[in-house]
Amino acid sequence: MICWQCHEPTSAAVCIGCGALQPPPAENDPYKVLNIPRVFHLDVVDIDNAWRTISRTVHPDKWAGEKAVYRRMSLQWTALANEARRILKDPMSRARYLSTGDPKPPERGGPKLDNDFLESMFDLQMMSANNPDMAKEQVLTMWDQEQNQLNSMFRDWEAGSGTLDGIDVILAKLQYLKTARTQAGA
Amino acid sequence: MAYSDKVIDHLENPRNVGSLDRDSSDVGTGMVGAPACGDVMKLQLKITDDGIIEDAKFKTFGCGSAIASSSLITTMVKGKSLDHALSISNADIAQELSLPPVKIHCSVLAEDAIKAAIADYRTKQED
Repeated sequence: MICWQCHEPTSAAVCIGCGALQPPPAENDPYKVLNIPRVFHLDVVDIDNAWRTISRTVHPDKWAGEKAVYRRMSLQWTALANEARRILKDPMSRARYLSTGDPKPPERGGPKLDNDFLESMFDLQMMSANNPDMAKEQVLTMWDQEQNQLNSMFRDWEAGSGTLDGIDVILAKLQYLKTARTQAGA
Repeated sequence: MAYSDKVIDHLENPRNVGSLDRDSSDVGTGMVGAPACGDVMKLQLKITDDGIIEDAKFKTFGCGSAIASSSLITTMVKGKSLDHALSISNADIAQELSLPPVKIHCSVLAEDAIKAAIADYRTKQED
């Protein structure tokens, strides 16, 4: 990247040479915004630290006395950084972003899930009414199963030895299980 | 936002709740879901040799609109031909139940379920 003010190469939000705030990344990429390596397995603490570092640099208070163009960029940066932190801290939206480029779940449609899984959602519903403790246990077991699959898929992908094919099915199941967990109070 | 009277009627008196034998060769089962809202809908059709829908049953886990949509569609297909059932669109259901735009996807689910049930029946007939 070239600094838009002094035209020297720069890689940070604020040019190391002339101290000018740089325009935020054009493509809304949470990893780029927070300057975090593009992997699924992230530590929450690292996300928060990255967010804090960038927020300190671009904070509107810091640019309050500057030209309008800086004040505007500072607001844009701050909004993007907050959004990026929110996306990356939720493993499901992080997974969706890495696999589809969109952190939000599709509002409708989505992959066809097998009948057995959908049937088990009915069973969980019945169980929640009759035996809440068992429902809780069951939904958490299922949740862990899908979560483990998601983790191992990304582990292979990050190691360069696997694809993310079929991840939409896992994410759709997790989406169901999230609702089921709320229902079961688990 | 309030449900329409027709939705409430189907909620208070759901038609054709239950299930049919999913292993039977003259029964088609359609199982569909919407991950975003967690709804699951199961629709089953018992079909005669002449391709008439003799019986229809549903089981739905979801919001009022999803339950009403599936209840309504069973009444719309009972006694009808498969072609007629396939011609029912989600717009017909949404209109009949006066569903608001945010609930249109529930009627889509019902349409998908009928189509899935008929597809399942046809696959069984081929075997």
